[in-house]
Amino acid sequence: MKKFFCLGLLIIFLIIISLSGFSASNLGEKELVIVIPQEPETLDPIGLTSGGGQTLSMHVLETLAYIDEEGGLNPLLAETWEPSEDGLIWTIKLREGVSFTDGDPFNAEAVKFNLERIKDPDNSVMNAYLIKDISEVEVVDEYTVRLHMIKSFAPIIRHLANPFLGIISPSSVKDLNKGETANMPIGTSPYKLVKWEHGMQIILEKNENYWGGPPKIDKLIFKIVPEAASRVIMLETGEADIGLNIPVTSYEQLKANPEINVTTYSDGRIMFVGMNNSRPPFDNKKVRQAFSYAIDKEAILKNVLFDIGTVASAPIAHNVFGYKKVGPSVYDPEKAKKLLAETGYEKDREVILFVPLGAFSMTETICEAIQSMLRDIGVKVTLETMEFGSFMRAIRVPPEKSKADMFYIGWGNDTLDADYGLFNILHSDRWPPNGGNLYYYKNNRVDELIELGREISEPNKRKEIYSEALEIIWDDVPALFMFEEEKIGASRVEVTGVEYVLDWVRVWNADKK
Amino acid sequence: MSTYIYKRLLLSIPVLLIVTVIVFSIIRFIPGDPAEIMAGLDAGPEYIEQVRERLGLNQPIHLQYFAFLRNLFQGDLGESINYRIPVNELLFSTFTNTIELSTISLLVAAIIGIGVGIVSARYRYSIFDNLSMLAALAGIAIPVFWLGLMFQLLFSVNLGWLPSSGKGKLLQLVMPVMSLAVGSIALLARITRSSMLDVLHQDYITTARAKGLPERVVIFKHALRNALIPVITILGFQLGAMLGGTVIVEIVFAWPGMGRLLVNAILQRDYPVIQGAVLVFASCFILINLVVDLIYACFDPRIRYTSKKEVS
Repeated sequence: MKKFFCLGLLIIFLIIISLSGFSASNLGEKELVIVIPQEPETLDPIGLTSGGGQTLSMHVLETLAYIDEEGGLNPLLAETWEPSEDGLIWTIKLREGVSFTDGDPFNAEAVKFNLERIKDPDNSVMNAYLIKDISEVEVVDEYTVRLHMIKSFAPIIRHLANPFLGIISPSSVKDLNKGETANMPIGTSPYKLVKWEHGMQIILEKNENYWGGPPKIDKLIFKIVPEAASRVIMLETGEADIGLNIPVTSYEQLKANPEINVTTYSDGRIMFVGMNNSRPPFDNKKVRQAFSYAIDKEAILKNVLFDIGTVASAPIAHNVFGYKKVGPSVYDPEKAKKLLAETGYEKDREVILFVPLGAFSMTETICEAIQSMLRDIGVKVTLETMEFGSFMRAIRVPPEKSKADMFYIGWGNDTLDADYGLFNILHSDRWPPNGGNLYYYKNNRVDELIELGREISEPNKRKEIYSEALEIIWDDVPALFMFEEEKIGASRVEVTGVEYVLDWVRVWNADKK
Repeated sequence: MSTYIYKRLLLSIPVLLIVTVIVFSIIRFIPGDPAEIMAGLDAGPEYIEQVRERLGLNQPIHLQYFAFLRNLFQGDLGESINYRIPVNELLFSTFTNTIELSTISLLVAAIIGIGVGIVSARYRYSIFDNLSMLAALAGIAIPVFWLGLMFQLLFSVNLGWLPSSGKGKLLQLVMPVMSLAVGSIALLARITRSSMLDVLHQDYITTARAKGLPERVVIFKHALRNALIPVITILGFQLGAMLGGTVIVEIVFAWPGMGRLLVNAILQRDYPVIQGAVLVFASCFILINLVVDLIYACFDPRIRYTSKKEVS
């Protein structure tokens, strides 16, 4: 009898404790819970490598400029910027009256410190390539900086707008490696990092002294929830206010929910099936064209991706500066068979398609669809699935070592500029291991045009250059450019001011009813 | 008895060393290294080389291993390549979370599973027995992943009773524990039942009943002790399996445990974290095995770990 009584007391006690957990939050304080799939590696710019890291970074640190939802470049910590005649010097005027949350002033010295820290080879910063064309950062006066360029590089300010290049307080660097402050950089943004519970959540609180006025939301809680279905569930129960990387399979379900706003937005990424241009069969343009005619991209978009995204009409997305409509490609299996026959393609020849797991939306299903469409024109495709790390190892090799015939992958565009979308993947200097020209494409005229596009600053001239380049590339079909990817973001209806840009979500101006 | 314990502990050291050698080499042989994984498609080979230098990955593998051992004996598991914080810190918090989840699940599974097994054996072929064995079959067959998501849909979305994921409040433990425990409950119920049935047919049980002892005493004092011996073995295995098997539950319920940490570390080739986590898991298994063997000795007086010399 006594035992049961004690047990009963214990149970009641436990219930009370657990219920008390609910009243912990401060009523009257506005909080936004954002669920993200992966914990960022660090928030110190020298260690940032992922898209998730970028979303968080842009809420803790500010960059010199930023890219808005329409793809426009806007001032942030820099107010104006001007290239010299020859494009070799950029003069940047910085915003005055800004301080870091530790009290230090934001000025030209801070900018110089940050850029040099990124470029320092001892720090082995992945994103140093973004500013590799800067040879020197000169402090002209307290609020003016001059960038000396190795050669003229027109999109440099767009590169500086990349959230990988947030500006941190120079005096805070010494604390970045140890104890409580490890990996918690100090910036100038509307929020500051207060707590990082590894594996669970990252908490940001508003910066009362923000130069643009304090934000409306007091606290941002980024919760790490790796399972996509769980993120969707948290949105539905109200445990989360904003959710990122919603899978296409949950789109209809969330759309039907009156408590949730769902948006699809172009993240500037093109998904394509790369082909190994350096050896048979894909060294023959006709074969590549035949393969292109064989794939019904509309059907795949509609049936596998639930119509989320658009069929690619160029090697770069439509919201990228320099875009011109040169496609979409035509679906014509009869023409494909005819072209293939003309090339003398052997009937039983097998091509291998590398399929990376866990990296992109609906990859396996899309590749199976491609395999079956190619089978319809008499081509035998073998799918080789592998985990993303092994996949990258397999395709990022010089042509003599490559075992891949075809591979499925995407290429994003962090700056929404044609240069970012073309240079690294289509210039012949960028064959692996030097860069991302994974299909070993080489066209001398395209090389010339890409190089010109980097040097010339005048926007209309750049557009013409890229128009020509895009036409040649489309005609050459180095890869099957399939879709412009669209991502799905969802937020509760009480939340306003959520901006989805590229791979990131921005809540600087968010509010909650 | 104590010499037995010391011997077992001493023997575990070479076992753990072998484990480190195996893990160390395997992760370095699979394609892709941390520098490549970290480098996006635009980072050039110079970046990859810089990172390899910084991490010492260009050194011959045996030198890397000796450096690892040197640090290990000083209690230093190195720094996570990805997060740039000490591995010890990462492992400590995640490991305690995984232990919390698995031990509570095992406790719940043991109480319910063994309880159901005892009752089923006592009232063999009753409705309770048939139903519970059917449920046990389902419990063993149902995938944990699906079960976890179904629980979330039912209890969080539809009924709104429980928070769907995360850790912090007691209520957030309920669904992860339920999902993890179901399989074990099922297994333990079936094994307890068959073991009890075996024991209940023994002569000494008939004797006890003939002596007029109340059924409660017969079952709990005489039958259970013997029936539990195979169950203890299974319990030990289940705890081991749970430690490794919490990954799925940790992912579905966003529980910050070591299973999830290890899987991510493997995908990102975060060598120090992989090495540290596997070492911790291996040590746990060895310890669990030892404890299980010692518990046998408590339950069955015939089992004694003494040498002939000690018996006086």
